[in-house]
Amino acid sequence: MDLLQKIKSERAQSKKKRPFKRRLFDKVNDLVRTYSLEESFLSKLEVPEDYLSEANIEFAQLRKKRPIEFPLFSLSAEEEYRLTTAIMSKVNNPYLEFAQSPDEIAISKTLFDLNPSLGADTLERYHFETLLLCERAKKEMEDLLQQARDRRRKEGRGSAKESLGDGRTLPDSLEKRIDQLQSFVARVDDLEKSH
Amino acid sequence: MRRLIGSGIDFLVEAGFLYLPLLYDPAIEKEIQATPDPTESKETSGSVILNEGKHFVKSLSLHSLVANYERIGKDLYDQVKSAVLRQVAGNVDRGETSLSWKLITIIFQVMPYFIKKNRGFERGKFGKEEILKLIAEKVDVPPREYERTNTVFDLKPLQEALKELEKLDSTFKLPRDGIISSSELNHWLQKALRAQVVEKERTLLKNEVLRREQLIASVDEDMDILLYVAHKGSLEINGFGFTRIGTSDDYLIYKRTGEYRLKDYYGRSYLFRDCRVAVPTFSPFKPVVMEKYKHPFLYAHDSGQEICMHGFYPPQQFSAENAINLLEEGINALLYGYDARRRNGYHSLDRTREYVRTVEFEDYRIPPGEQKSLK
Repeated sequence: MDLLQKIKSERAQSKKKRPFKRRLFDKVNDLVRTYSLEESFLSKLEVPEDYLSEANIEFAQLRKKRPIEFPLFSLSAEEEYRLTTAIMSKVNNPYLEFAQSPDEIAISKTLFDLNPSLGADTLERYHFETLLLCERAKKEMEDLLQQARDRRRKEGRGSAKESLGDGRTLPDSLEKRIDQLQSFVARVDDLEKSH
Repeated sequence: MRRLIGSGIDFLVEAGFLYLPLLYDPAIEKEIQATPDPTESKETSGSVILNEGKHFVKSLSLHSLVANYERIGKDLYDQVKSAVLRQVAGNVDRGETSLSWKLITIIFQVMPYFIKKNRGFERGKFGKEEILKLIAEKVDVPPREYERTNTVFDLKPLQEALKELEKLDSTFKLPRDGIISSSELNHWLQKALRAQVVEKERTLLKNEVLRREQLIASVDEDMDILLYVAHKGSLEINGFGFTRIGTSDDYLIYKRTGEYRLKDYYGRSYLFRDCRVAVPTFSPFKPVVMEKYKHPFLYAHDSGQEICMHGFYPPQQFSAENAINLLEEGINALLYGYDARRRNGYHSLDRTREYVRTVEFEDYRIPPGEQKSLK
């Protein structure tokens, strides 16, 4: 490419329209104003996972998000602006951009700590509560399976049962819990695949 | 503005300007932080002020707000205005049902346009005296004393109203510099608007009295003619006329079209009888045909129908100029608006197959033999 062509292409590139992208501030500020959030919300961010730790996976609903049109730009009163910036600095993680409600803002940090590699599609489609429960289920399942393996190793040391490698020898409660967790994760995966 | 006043926000007043709390986004905050001393920013641009730890941005001039409020907040302005007018004993509009400014406008401004001198070299419009002379010639005015009260010649109510207005205070002070709540601002605005309405009405009334005095002086001897016409409520001279609607101060001003011919797609002529094209002195200002009439530009065969005029935007208020334009537009539409090739309008003169016809013009068609003799 000669110099003239290079200059031309650079100019054309600079003149090209780029899609307008909403800033994180606009999104968080919109939530602050829509839900009339106050400073007390910041204290809720200190203990984000409390109400979820009790959630029972067996009865948990798979929550999907509805598409929200955030404003292109936002101007807000000083109090709202300060709260918005405080939330942004407190919940400083890439998932905050996909939060669509105060609950999701609160959960986003925990979710990011658990699994920082969730894709944008998943984060846009599912409520963070469902994703958090799913991540926790996966983690708990891993732990339980590890436990089961350890137990089998101990019980079956030298016995023929170890070689079977199935879960029939596990206690019923453990087996039931693993089933519950497996079915919950499968439900989330199925829903994801169906899209 | 009404939303702003009812918002419950605290504003700042500084040197006759209303300052609103500054709205933030990251770029604005950066800009604010970049200015080391708020007082310095005040000096350089004067648009942002720091008051009690809060930033305010310059928005409206309070003088300008009051001066233009009639346009931006008509509801509140009208409320204040009607309150002032109620207080003034002689309401300006009161009483003038028989000889009003509308009638004066019709007689001295619209009528001369349509009744032009056409005798030899004497062309041109009629003046006030000539119009009155012409009316006296055409109409037999019985010799009698006509009541002048409740007419434009009765200046007493206006003078009383003017006296009452002189008593009212028409000055207002700007609010003191500093924080002002929305309710305080609302209270101040109403007071300022009231003062402004008083001042405006005073000027209007003074001009009105002057105008009427001039009129009385110019038609002094022939005043009875005007009072008679007003008493009768209708008049027609040389194809131009007007008629009062009920007992109100509204009129239908009309002009006769005379007989005219239109041609259809095949060149056949149709004879349309004379009709009166009229415009009302009240909104909507659209030309209508007074008689039961049919025409390609009229929807049905009925009386009082609006004339279809494509791309026509009616004026918003009554004036001599508007009335003249509307009458001319209406008559031109009937006489020259129909295009035989395009068959424009609601109906076409000749029969077409595709068209569901509601109005026929066969009975208006001139037989071929007569067409030649009419040419």
